[in-house]
Amino acid sequence: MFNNFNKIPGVTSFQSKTDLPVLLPYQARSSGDPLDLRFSRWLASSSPWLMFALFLLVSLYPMAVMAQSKYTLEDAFSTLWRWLPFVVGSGFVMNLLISFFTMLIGTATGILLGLGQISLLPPVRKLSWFLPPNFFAIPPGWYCSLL
Amino acid sequence: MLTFPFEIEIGDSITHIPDWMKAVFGLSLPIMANISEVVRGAVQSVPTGQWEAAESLAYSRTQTIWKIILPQCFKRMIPPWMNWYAILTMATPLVSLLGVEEIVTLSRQAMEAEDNHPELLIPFFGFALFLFFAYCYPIARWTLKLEERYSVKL
Repeated sequence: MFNNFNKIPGVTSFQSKTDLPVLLPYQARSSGDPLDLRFSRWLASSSPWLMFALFLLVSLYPMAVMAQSKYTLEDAFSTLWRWLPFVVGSGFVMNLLISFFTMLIGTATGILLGLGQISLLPPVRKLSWFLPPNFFAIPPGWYCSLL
Repeated sequence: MLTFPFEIEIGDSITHIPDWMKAVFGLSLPIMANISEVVRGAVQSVPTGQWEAAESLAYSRTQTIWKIILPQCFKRMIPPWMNWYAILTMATPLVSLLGVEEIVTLSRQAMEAEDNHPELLIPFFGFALFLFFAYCYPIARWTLKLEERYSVKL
């Protein structure tokens, strides 16, 4: 009995019977995902083991070529092992440090800019709308080459 | 980033700005722009009834934004914010172009110290790839989980 209440004409798949013109609702894609994110979403929602299998495959493939050289794989990996504390301790930690401080500054200023976009003061609002697409919302790589 | 000053001189005191701090300023500009879009989108996603209800209770606009709208936005801003953190982390090796000593720069230095065998390329850069993957993939999974939890269910 209660099932009938879930059927909203024109919204659920239930076909309404009327001879009046009906404005159908806007049909969003599956759950309103932007199309651009499909690959990322697929990547993130697939099984973790698939990702690790792909990673292994991609990293093992070039090693078939290296097997022909005199400098063996063990040499290469023992070298990596020797340099590991250096590469991780001063390298990757620096990456995380940069990403942490960038996020800190970017979030603080981004919130201000985002609130500026809904400001009631026209100059503030217009400037906040004008700046991001023209100057800042470009891929980070450009900053390294441009600035 | 080369245009940022490397030291600031105020009177007699000279403050040196390390190169990685300049990289932070440069990278935070696109993050700022995208976070601003996230904030605006979150504010606009709050139903307008909330604004009207606040107005009927004589809240000023500033009070409405800070006490009613932003607390509701906070939860739904977390997944895109984490997305941007993961994207940013993957973008940090770009600063090696400027000679900031991070993982790619140091891997290259280590390989040069080991006579530049081409066989070292895959292990070293593959290891860097693995580190970033191991760091960013859980963030992506977690973001997806949060997105599902906070999504509007019809």
